[in-house]
Amino acid sequence: MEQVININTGEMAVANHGSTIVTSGIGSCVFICLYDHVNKIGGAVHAMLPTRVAPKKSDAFIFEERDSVGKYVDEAVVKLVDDVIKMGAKKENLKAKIVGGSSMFKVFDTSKIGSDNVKAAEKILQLLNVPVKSESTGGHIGRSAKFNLENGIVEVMVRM
Amino acid sequence: MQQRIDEFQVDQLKEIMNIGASHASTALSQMIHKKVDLSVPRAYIDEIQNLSKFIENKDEEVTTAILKIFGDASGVMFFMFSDGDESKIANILVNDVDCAGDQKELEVSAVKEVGNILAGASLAAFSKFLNMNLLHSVADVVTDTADSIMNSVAIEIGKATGVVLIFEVKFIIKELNIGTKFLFIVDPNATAKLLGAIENKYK
Repeated sequence: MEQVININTGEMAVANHGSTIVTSGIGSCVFICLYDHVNKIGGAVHAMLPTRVAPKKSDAFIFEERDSVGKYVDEAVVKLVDDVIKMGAKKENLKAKIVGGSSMFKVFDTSKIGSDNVKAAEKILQLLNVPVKSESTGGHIGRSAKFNLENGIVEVMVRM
Repeated sequence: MQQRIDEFQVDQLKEIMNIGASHASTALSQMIHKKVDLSVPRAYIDEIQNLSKFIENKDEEVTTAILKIFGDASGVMFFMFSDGDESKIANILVNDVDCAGDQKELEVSAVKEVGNILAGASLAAFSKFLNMNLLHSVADVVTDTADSIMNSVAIEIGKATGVVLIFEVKFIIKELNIGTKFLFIVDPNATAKLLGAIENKYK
């Protein structure tokens, strides 16, 4: 039975064959997919920022914050690897694909947050010994992606 | 000092937003010689990862003029045109110009200028009313899906904070069947500064 799982920004999903994980609006965010091709189990996360930054004490207004699991690249990848292994994937079979990390606005170009996100993803994946199989990153364009867990193929759509 | 923002404070900020937005809409109306109606401002406070949920047509292609706000309060201001609407406005503005070059480039330039003028008008109103020094960067024009744009803006703000305050006003030009969104996203630090300035004003 084919099942389509839609994830929003800051969310993650783990599933097995027959499912498709779909997300849209990947600008400077990153969409990281993990796949075990032997067991046909995988997961993906739509993360926003490279790492958690402690809120400044000087901030006068701190609103109540409920952090979602998939907000920060480093934390999200660790959790995602954990979750797919729990679901039955083998660590040595895992391969990753990275989508996103573009730099959308010239006015913010100094920040390079998109490439920071990609670098953070590569770094944590390397640390966890998960090879990155392919990437569709950078540029000045928004992307949406479809991750097919039947075969591990990630379809990337860009607006033209 | 850490505190939460209450309904009354949100209302105060909405009113300020209204003042800025009406100046911007007047400027737009004068530029294109058409009547521009304003919607009631909406304000949301939410975590940055939820920002794109406020967009109605996520997959819609939009052209956005985006400006960074700095000075006494920082944030981001942007004007979102639905696909094709930016051309309608640009055509009115550059109607008499004999354009030998790229039409698209001319349009982008016109939208940029609209962004500059509208942001300038609303910031001048904020500055005058609140006695604050507010400046804006040059405008950048991006055409992409609405949620890609919102998410990327969210990230830029999100480097410093997890939660943002966002205002939205719609400019409606009935004659051209255009509804432009004017959004102002305020840094949490700036929120406190704006509220302080309002308080000073009515002391």
